[in-house]
Amino acid sequence: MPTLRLDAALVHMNRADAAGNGQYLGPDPYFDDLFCLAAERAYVSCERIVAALDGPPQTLLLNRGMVHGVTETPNGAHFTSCVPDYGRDEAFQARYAAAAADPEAWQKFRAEYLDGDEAAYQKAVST
Amino acid sequence: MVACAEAWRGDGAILASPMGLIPSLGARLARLTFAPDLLLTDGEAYLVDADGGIEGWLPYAKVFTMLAAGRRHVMMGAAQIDRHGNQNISAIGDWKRPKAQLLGVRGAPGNTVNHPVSYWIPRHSPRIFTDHVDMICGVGYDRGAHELRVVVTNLAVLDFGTPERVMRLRSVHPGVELADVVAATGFPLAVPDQVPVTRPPTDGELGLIRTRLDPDGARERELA
Repeated sequence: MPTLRLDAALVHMNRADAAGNGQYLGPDPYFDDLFCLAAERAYVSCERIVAALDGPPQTLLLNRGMVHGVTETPNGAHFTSCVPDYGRDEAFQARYAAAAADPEAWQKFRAEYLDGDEAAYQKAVST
Repeated sequence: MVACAEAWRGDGAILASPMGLIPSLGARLARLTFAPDLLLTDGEAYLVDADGGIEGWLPYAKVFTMLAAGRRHVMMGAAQIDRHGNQNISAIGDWKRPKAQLLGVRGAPGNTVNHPVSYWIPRHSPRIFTDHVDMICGVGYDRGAHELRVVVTNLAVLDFGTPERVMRLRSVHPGVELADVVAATGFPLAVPDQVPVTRPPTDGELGLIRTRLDPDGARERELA
């Protein structure tokens, strides 16, 4: 089977520095480093951009050579998890699943959470 | 549950990956009794003992290395399964416009060509044990399966211990009539002259199930 070439990878880390080095602090690195290496362009969002990364060296999953852009987006993995910063928002996931099963409910869900920008989304899900 | 546990007997220190409640209870029961070397996961990133205590790290990517090395034995479900062991968990009906969209093929293709696979089917019926699988997810012995160990149902235990590697009745559960198993299977089942009865749980196993593994009786609801 031929390998997949990704146009772009969008991954989310707990911490990163401005150069694009990325760090995970949860129990599972998943495949984020592989996604970045397989992509033409890789963009990292993170809970917090720090001046200097610290912690065990094996938590430094991404190096700047595999990353083309970095941005700080607190709660950016919502409604999935970014352990230990936060877990899954299961109540919200249940609302999403219910809305997705009903076109009318979906329009309402979309208007409430998705039609705005990132800041509007974060504001909507925090209330 | 004991019949599910028996699937992992003799496997040694390999990763047991049970899908669903009864297989999970079975794997933990095996670990606590006759298969103490089994590796169990919490379904996230840790290897755990039968009570959930952390004993190791197994992030998602490492599951694939265990899989590729053949050091894993999965027990999956099946919406359909045929006599060769081809399994479907993805779509019922015509592929272009299915009547029901299910889980997707998930890990079934890779699992079945790389390491032992067993199945747990809580409602043995001709709709599941079918002549024809609408979409093949887990491959059968006619398509290169690595090893299909057992198929455990609410009525019986089946395996592929025939020269043609087609499904055979290994044992019927206590109180189940042979004719009922045959009637609930939608293809001709290989039936030996003498059909043993599935071994019931020992007193020790019953005690573990009732007091330690499933004190709230969640297992009863899966079989209701």
